[in-house]
Amino acid sequence: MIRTLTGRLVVSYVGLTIALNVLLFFFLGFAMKRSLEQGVSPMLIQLVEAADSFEDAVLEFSSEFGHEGEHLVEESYFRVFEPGGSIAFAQGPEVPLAEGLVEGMARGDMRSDTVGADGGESRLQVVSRRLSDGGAIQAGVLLKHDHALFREFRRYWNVSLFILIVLAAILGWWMAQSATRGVKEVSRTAERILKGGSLSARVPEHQQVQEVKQLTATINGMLERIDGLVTSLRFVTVDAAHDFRSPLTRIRGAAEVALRGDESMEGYREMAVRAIEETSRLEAIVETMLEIVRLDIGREPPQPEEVDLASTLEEVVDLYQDSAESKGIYMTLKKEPGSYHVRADRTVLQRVFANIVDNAVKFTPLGGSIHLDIYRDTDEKLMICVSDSGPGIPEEELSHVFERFYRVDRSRGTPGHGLGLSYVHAAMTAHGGEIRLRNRAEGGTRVELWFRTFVGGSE
Amino acid sequence: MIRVLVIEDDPETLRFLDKGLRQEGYSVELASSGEDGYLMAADSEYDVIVMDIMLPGRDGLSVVKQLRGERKRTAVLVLSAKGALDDRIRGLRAGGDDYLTKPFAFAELVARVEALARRGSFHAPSATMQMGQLTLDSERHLVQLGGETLDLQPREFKLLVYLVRNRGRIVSKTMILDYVWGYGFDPQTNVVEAKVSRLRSKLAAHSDFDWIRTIRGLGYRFEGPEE
Repeated sequence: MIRTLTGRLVVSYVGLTIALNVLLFFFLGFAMKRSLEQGVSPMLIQLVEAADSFEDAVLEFSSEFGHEGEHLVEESYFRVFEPGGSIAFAQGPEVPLAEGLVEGMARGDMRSDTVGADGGESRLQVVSRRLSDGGAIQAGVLLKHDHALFREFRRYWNVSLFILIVLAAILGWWMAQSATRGVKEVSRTAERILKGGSLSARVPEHQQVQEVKQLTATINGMLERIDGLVTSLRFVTVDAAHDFRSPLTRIRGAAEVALRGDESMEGYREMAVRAIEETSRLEAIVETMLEIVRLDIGREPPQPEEVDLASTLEEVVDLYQDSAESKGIYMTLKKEPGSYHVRADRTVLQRVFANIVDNAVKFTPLGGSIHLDIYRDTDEKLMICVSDSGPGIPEEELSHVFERFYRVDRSRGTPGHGLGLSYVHAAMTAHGGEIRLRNRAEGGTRVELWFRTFVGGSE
Repeated sequence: MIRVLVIEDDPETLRFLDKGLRQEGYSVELASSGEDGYLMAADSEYDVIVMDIMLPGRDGLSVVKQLRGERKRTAVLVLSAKGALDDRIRGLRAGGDDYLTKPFAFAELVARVEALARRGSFHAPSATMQMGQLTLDSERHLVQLGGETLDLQPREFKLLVYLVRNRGRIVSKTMILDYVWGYGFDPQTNVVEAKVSRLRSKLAAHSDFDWIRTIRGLGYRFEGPEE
């Protein structure tokens, strides 16, 4: 029990409450006693100052107590001494210690004392005064009633202490609960995954305690990453293996057909050509796949350097210019003046641009047009925008285009392995950038590549 | 004759390397382990060693290291699987050697072996080249065919220079992309075909001869009329 956070918090809260109360109790008790004593003194002083001679005093006290009730008499102490020292008037209990106080006092002196009475059972607060005629007068109060008051005080105190302890325990329990709720949710999520659940499980984000909120965010971030990597791995093993089948079937088929029949030399040559073409396709798939996984795992440009986006893009446009022209496609590159330097991996960027332009050329019909624009959006962001006049992408397929091996028009037989946009997506993510894809209102696709600018010198 | 030592543990790969390199007219010797390869390389003189990096027992890099330690300067072409491409292998280029990642086009292997074998003799490619009626001046960026000057774009010119330099040999699409555009990947579309066919038609406008032969599945070969 004490090992759980709840147990520890409850015990600590209760312990602290008790300690604070005990301390407060003694302090308050002391303060109360002091204020009682101080409250009594002025009254006594008034009494002893009322008489100038001991005869006056005797007269006054006797007449006074003739009217007063028993109650006061019992708790009071009065003495009047004759100039000779003998007692002229006495009221209240015998307190020899108090009577001795007047000895040695000069005329007109007054003193206030607290002495033990009743054999230590109670205390007597007494004010003594030496009168001008040599007599003396004393007035005092037995502070016996302290005990009764304290008992009462302690009873209320105990009740409130009990309530406080219960409250402290509840508070401790509640604090522990709210602090551990998130932790429990984390371990519940982990358990669910352990017991064979999907890696897509996440801890609920709505946490109240800041630290738990952070923990939740970290755990969810970690799960996100693991999920991504596992998906990535699955893609290498399962999806890729699946996609290898078609080229393998074609290679095997071509070879078998060549062997079964009486092939001419030309027939064998044809078969070899087919085998090489299919193999290049396989090589490209494997190579692109490994690149994607490398980018996914590294999450940063593999070999970063300062790259000029504009000139890299110009090179790619140059590379594709002839292919575009052979389809009668009008391709333009518009660059707003300015610097387009980013920190990136040059080879990866070349591939990214080549993939995007490749798609545009591939899907734009004869006589169409492709427009490339590069401009600075804000101080930190650069954008490359590639718009084509192709058929666009069906809206329901837009969300799938970055999936590996996803191809929009499988039936049309356009070349490609369905990894181009996945590669671009992985590459842009690794560069801290972004790719957005949408259909233009006037037809065709618009691809936006967003980059963060290179800040010279600071890394 | 160029003498080549091939060190490779996979028997099938070894077989096709042997056959292919012999077809190119090289003298080829084979070893199937790092230790055998090292002993052969230490014993006799080769122009080029083609070596797999992953070998049973002893890996390729340690063989290169030991040979270098014994002042054997034989050029080495290291073959490695793509994933295994680390900085040590990249460092080979700095040491004057070369690497090629598997899988590779045979044409590329031949080109690399050729380049490494020539390394010793060190003749810088001459600025002007002549093949039949074709004259090429790479310093002045001038091409003449049948006495007329061709109007070529810079990339077309670069492509022509590359083809002429490798005349009689097959160059793959990948090699062209690498040399002309500096691209280390294959975009899978017909960019190279488009560029080659444009160059071909410019050449055809001034001569009846088809200078650039397409070898299906492999690449292109530049041929003069006299060959």
